[in-house]
Amino acid sequence: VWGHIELGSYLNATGGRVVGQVLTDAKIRTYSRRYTYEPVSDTEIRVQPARGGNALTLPTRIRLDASLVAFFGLYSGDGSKGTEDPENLGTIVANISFSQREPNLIRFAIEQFRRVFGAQLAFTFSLGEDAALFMGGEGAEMLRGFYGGTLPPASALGQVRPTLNEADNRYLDEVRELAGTPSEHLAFYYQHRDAMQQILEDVKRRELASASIPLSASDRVVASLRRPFKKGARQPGGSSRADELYLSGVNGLGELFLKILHELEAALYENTQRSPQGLIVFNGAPDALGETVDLENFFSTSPFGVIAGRRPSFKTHGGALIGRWPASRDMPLQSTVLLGPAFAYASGLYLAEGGTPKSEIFAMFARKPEGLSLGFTSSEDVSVNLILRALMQVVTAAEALSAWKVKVGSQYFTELVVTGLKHGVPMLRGGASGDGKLRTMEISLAIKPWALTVCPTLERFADRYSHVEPTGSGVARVDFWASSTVARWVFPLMIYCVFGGAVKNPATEFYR
Amino acid sequence: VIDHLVLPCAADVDAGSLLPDYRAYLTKYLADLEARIDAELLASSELVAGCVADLWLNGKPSWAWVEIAAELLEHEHDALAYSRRFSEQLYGFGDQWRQADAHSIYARAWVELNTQGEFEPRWRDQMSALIQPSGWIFNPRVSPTTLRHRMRSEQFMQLAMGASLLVGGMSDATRDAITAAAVSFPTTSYVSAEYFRFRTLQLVDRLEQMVVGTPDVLKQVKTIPGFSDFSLASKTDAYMGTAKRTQRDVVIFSPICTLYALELATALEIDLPDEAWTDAAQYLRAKPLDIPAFRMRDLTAPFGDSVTAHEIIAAAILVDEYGEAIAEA
Repeated sequence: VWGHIELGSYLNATGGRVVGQVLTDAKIRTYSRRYTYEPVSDTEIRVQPARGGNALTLPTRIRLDASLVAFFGLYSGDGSKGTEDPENLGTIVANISFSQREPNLIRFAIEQFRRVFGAQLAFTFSLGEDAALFMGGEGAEMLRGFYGGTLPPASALGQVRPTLNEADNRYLDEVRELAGTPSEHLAFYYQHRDAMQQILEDVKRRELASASIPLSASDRVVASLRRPFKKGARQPGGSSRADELYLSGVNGLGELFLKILHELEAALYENTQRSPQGLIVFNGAPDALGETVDLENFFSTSPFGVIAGRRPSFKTHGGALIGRWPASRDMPLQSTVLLGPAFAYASGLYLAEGGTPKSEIFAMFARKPEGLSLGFTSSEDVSVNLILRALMQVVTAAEALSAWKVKVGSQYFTELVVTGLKHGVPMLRGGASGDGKLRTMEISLAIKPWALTVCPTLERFADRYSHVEPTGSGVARVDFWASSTVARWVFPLMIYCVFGGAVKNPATEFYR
Repeated sequence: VIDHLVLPCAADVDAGSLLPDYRAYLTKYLADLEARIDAELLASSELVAGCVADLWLNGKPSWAWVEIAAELLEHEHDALAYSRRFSEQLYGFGDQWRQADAHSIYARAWVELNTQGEFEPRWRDQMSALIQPSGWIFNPRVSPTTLRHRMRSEQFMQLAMGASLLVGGMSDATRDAITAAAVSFPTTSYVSAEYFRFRTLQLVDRLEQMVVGTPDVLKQVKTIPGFSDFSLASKTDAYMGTAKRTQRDVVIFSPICTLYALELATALEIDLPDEAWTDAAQYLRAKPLDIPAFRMRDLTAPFGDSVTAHEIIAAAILVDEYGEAIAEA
């Protein structure tokens, strides 16, 4: 145990008023909620939002160990930070939900949610999908299968949707470069909506069952279906799947949960024993806590130090430890790594937001992984900082980051164009679809100071800045990557740090 | 100074009456550029800005601009956008410094024209080789992006630059091809794209083909003071097909874009409110260096540059060119 979430003393100190700030997608927003609370026993406290919501009995002190810290890292990446109050812009109303599809991580998250909130919870597993999935490919096959092999004749929109609502009318006004008309696409959606939802719910139920995630009587599975091409699918048969895990029974507790997360993050970022408001108290400075692991010993003996049944070899050169995986290259390594709170948090965060396919990370112990790259994208320095700190605990700084770039979503291409105009040059894109390396250096160089201001952690890697990449959607964010060889040294340690307490043999115990 | 397409009316500026802030900025820019040239760090865009600054401040070319270009921005007879050292500012840019596109060829020819009175015919030949079957002018080896995904401003800027070099002795077929490309899109939402479209048609003497809708574009991109390149209403996310939330985005005033808007309004006789002609010049006369940068939503760090040499030159043109309008107002 590395420390505690000091729920009781925090609520006493603040009078139950929880106030915090969220920085996501370059938006700074605040959250605030007042709670009433009363001790139930020496070890438990009853907490309830002052203006309605669920009353929960929670531990006065919640023990912080590797798995719970990692869980908050995971939630930081995949969890909901709330929705903006349309009546009060700049303020969010926090809710607790979790976007993840990987079964091992869903199972892990459920366990950790129960550790924080006890058995008072119920879960709703939601599968969100674009109806375009069912307009081609495997989705169309599933739909035909639902109808017994043949789709019914297409209906006109007026037949299946006699009265259009505001969202329908907006949809009809939108222009997409696709075969068919918005009216036909909308008719397809309404004609097959119930069938598509049933298919998706069955898919989700089967997945949960095969991953041994049991559903209690109060748990639910639902499908959230969007109008065709609305949710990111760009062609018929395209998928834009989003899996959500919603919690029932914690209504109004979102702000308190977010506060725990942010206090924990702040303590780790600054390496302080106490978080800013004392909600988190570690047993010492976080960077001095944890299990010191001898790397050579770990990769020579631990069941987690294996990839596809093979182990690396080691040698020393000038006193430095050099490791090499079979059919790989020499890698200078730190001789020991401290698997403490910062490493655990970074591990959870990477599992949520890292660029590596999750399935490969969990399967690598048993079979040869494919595409085991290491990459991370974020617009927040705290995330970049914690991931790089974890990497540099294992490998040298030179290996931890190969290069970095700034990704800019299409909404901000206009700003890039003007930046080029300010230098009298056109914005020349790379690649056939324009999402390669920007060819106009003036623009890339002009954006670099922004990235270093937003993510000062990258200052020490300033000379590894590569380019701006106009791509996809979303705000500008930094993206860095390391070699696949680095991934082979880091991922086993991350998985051990998060799951080592519960899993003895990763080659057999993880769902694959 | 002979006009550069990116900096219209630079030739008309009375350099003797430059605002002190602009004179100081350009003097320092030249001094910094001298050090950069010594370090072999040069982009063709800097060559152009440096040459304008030199001609304004000194009344004649006092630097060996063509020799500098030949030494740092030429490789195997190509007019490069960047020197080799310049590209080393980006990690792993590799041999991409060897990029010669319409804008770098134009920059080289423009510098020769300004300092020697004419440019070498090879630049015209090289530009001619960049005419695509679609009529657009760009180098697909530098940027292989399909027309659908190219930035409109880029397409029209390079088209105008190509037309500028090719217009002398241009065949009717080439003239038609360029004209057809220039009118192949309806009005965009970007004043820069519309300005370069207009200049293209003006250069090939086909102004009667100008697309409709330019007055609406100017109305939409008016900000205070001056003009932006785009309006918030036109911002969309290409992949979602819907307007994204833009409540935290802010359009900014840009002297260059203001210059383009006013040039369009003048040439096309677009009726603008009186203050639209003068507010940017008035503002800059009071606050010469107050040229903003973008912000990424709530983050205070500037996203890209605010003041640049090109913006200062454009600001000086605005103040000079529309100074009389200020007096009349």
